Amino acid sequence: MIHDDLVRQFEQTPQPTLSPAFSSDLRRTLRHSASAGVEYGAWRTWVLRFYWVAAAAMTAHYYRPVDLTSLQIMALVMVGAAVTLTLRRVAKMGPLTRVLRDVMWR
Amino acid sequence: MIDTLDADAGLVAAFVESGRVEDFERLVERHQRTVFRVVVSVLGPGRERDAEDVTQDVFVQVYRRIASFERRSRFSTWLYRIAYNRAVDVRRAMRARPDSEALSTDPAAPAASRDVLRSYAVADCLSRLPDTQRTAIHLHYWLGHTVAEIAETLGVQAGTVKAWLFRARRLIARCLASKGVRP
Repeated sequence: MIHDDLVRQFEQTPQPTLSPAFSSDLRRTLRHSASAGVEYGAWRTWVLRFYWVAAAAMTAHYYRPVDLTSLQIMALVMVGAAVTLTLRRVAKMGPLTRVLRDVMWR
Repeated sequence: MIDTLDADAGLVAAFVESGRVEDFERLVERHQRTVFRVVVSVLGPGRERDAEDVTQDVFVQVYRRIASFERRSRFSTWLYRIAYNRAVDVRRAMRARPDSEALSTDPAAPAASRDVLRSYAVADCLSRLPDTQRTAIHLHYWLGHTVAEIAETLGVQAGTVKAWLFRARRLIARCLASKGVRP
């Protein structure tokens, strides 16, 4: 019954189509983006990376509860990097996360 | 299918290597129609122009981020997933829903107007569905995609799509009942 309702609902709805100017507009936007965006994107990435490196260095410099050898600091950095990478992969939104978010939004 | 996959992989590799916008435009030509249909199925009928804007945003975003494509899935799956996520975000920002308060069903109303009210009630119930279920309903009933096509486009199993459609119909039936509309 609901199936019939939905069929009726959409048989009168026009099929969506891209406007004729869409392709040329997108081409123009992409070419503009190509000339301006790439350098900006790379620059922004490196600024962010520098921010986190500087923040980690400042923290290590001012907050040092125990004296660490260079080897220990290097080991800590490697463990920290591994944990960060793992967390980034885990936090990436997969289908399950999305379904859960949908349920929470309802 | 293999030709399509090879062609996508070849075009992605060519673009990543050369960085030439012309190589990317060939990917756009191949996928713009499907990306648009994914986006419009999330936003819903009457949002075609918004869907075009979102489609354009998606391709600009992909153009800038294609280096982060890790090739663990097909390029098309990755692209359509970005389109779906972006469209969901845009729809949440819009928060457009028909005014359900104005939709009453008077049993004494003439048959023609009862049909119109029923249609409004169905549209309102559709807008209240979770994103995945509403998108599946739009792709299936509005755009005429089969379950297999929806599964391929959204990168999920066919069984998942069938479950979305089943639950969506059940929720619509309950929603119509709560409005006093007989299913």
